[in-house]
Amino acid sequence: MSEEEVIDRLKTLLENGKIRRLAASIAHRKIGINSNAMTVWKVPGERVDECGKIMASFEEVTHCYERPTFPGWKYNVFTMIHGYTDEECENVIESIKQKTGLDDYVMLYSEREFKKVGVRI
Amino acid sequence: MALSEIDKKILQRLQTNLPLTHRPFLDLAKELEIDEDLIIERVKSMVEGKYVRRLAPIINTQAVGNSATLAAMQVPEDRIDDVAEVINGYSGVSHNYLRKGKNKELPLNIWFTMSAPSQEKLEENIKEIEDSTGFKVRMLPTTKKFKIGVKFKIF
Repeated sequence: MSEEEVIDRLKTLLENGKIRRLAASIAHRKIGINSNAMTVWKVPGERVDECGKIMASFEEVTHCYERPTFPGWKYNVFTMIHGYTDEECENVIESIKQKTGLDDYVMLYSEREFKKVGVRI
Repeated sequence: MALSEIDKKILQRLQTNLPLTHRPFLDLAKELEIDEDLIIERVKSMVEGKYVRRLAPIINTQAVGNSATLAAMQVPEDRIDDVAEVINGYSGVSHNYLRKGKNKELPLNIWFTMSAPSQEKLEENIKEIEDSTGFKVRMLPTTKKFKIGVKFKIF
C-alpha cells in the first residue's frame, strides 16, 4: 500500500465512523489518575435523557450509557468517572446528585485490574 | 521518569487525534510550538515508559459489525482468580475488573467488556464462560450512549 492509500483509507474509516479516533490511549493510572468509579444510577425511564445529558456534561465523566435492568438489578444508567483521587470522583457524584435530584446509586471502585487492552477485530 | 510540562502538553493534545497527514508530528509541532524531533522523541519515550498504552485507531466495534456488551458476575472470593483467568482467555475481552461498591454492597463483583464478530458468537462465548466457571453471567449491553471518549485532563 502506498502512503497516500493508507492516509486515504484511514480518513474514510474516520468519516464513516468505523474508527472513532486515531489517538493516544494513555495509561491513566500511571499519570496519577488513580481513581475510577463506575457509578450506577437508578433513573426513572422518562428522565433518562435529561439525566444522561447532565452526567455526560462533566469532564470527569468519560463514559455515560443507559443499560438494561433485570430482576435484582435496578440501576439503568452507568457513568465512568475518572479522577486523581476518590474524593475528586465523589465531588462529581455529589454535583450529579444535586443537579439531577437522583439519590439511588452505587459507586463501584475497581479493586483489581485483570485486563485492559484495545478492542481487537 | 516523571512527565515534564512539555510531555503533558503533548499527551493532552495526542488524546484528541493524530493529524492524518504525511508528517503528523510536524503539524503538531507547529500547533504546539514544540520542535518536531523533540515531539517524536518524547512520544517514543512515553510509549516506552508506558505512559501511552498505544497510539492507534480507536475502533467503533458496532460500526465494524461487531457485537459488544458489558457483563457482570457474582463470584465468591476464592474463585475470583480462576474466573478472571477464564474471562481473560477471550481475545474479545478488553476490560476486566474486580469492583466493589463503596456506599452500598452489591453482589456483582467481576465486571468485563467483551466484543465478538456477531451477537451469536458473543452469546456463545458468554455461555461458555458460564459453563466452565459454573457462575451466571449478566449481560448489560448499551441501550443508549450519552458519552464515549476517554480523554483525561492532565495536570
